[in-house]
Amino acid sequence: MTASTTRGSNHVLEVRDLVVQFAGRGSWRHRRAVKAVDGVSFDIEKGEILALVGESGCGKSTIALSVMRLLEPTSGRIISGGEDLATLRGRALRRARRRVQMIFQDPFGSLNQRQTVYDTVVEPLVIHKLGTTPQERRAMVIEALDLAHLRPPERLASVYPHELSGGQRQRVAIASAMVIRPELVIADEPVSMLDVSARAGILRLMMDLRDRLGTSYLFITHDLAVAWMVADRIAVVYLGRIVEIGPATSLVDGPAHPYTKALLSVSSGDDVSEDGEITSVLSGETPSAANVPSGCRFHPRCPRYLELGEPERCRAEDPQLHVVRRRVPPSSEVYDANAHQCACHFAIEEAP
Amino acid sequence: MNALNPVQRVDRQILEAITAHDPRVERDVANARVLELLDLVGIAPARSKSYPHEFSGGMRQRAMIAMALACRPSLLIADEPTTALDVISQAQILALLSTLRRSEDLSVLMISHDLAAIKRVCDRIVVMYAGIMVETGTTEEVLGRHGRPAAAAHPYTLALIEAHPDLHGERLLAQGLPGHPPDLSKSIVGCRFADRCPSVMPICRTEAPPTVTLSAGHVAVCHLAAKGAR
Repeated sequence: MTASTTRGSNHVLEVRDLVVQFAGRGSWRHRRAVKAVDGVSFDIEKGEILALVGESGCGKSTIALSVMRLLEPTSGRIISGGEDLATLRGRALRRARRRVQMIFQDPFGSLNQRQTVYDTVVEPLVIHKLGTTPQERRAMVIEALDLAHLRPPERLASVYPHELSGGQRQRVAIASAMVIRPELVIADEPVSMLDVSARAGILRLMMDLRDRLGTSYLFITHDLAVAWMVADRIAVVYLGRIVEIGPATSLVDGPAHPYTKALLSVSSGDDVSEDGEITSVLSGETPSAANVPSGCRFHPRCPRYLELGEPERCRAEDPQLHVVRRRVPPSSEVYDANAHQCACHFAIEEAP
Repeated sequence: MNALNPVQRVDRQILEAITAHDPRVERDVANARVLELLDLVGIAPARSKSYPHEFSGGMRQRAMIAMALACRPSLLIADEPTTALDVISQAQILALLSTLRRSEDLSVLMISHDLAAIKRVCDRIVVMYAGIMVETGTTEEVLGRHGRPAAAAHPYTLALIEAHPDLHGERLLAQGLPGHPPDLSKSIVGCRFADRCPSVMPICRTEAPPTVTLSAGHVAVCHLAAKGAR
């Protein structure tokens, strides 16, 4: 595994065995650490969009925040540009952050209400000491606004966020992420606060920037349908683990994990019968990360576990990711973009 | 999500809904009713003494529904009931609404921008744009369901349908609607949607659109629909 994949690879990000722990509640003697992220590994290639999909509280945002080092990872490696972001500090960390930028969910909260659009977008240039003269910086800002389809950029540069619609604000957030031309953009639910009509525009813009500038994205969403629209690959996260990962079409056409299958039937409306009765909804809530079930962490809610007569193995043995389908022969020994992997003892095998 | 009082236990808040409307209700009766309501929405009695922050989003929404049902209403108005929830909780809350509708003989006015949610629970749909109703009809007819294709007539409805990714459809990202809803403080001549409409005609900017009946119960307010119907 340590025969590092960095050499000769096209990866802008490699995350290996990432663990993020928080201190639990209770008195100090009984306090147990909560593993919000529990051993997550994935890669993102240049120009690739990887979507992390899961319910709220599954740890997908925690993964994003620790890649940005806005949260301290407990262990694991986050490799970008040959450096391990998990251990960098000070100036080296700041330099590395030029390669990774983030877009947040709430375009109303993430922009400073007292700053004009220009001030917001120029800030990353100032922080990273890019552009030597004010004129040069201004040109870079105008170009970024134009890139984000904020037109006319000269006029919009001088307005305040309250003068803009939700979609336009999110475009400002995108412009200020893109102004320093990062290799990777982490987008945490970038469209879930937006109107349906503004949504498609923002998704299109992100895909367009990928095509033009080769930007990679880590796209975080709870909506499998949106993930399927934009992503090359999808990783389904449940309770701090990736339970299934694979090419978007393979995963949607032939889900191997029962959890993915449940998400899919909910997202596609397949669980509504002819007379309007809603059937087979996954029951219960996501268990808390402070109290992870034994064996397979999904087994208490798993319809397949019940279907198979509650096999002992699901309760006792923690399933690991393994390849369930591969369309093209693997290009790399360790991580293979074409491999469809699943962490389930009884993965669903119907081919799409 | 923020509709519950954060410093009061959930059962107390539901109790309040009962006593507010019937001050002379006996304590035991009211308490029994609280447990009955919680059971109805799928909250275990053991959790009735919890504070809202101890609940997940889906559980909080269940508590809200229990409170709304306290006085046995005949109409439940649900304003974006699932917008703040993730997909699984969404499905659970929508399933709950469907069940309650049958068991409690409840009518529901659901306000939502989520066509998928509407498709799951609603019998009829009214599409609003800039303060007016632009199209109405059965969900089957307007949005398509159970194998029936969507037969929406208004360009705005069509744009909404197109903006929703469909896992059964093609993997193609919709164009989205350019522009913004009109400024309603100014008077509008003609159709309110004209500025954003992909199939705008000259008449749309001069004359208010007519109300066109496309079939029993399916109505669109649109010049284009009038042309097609003729």
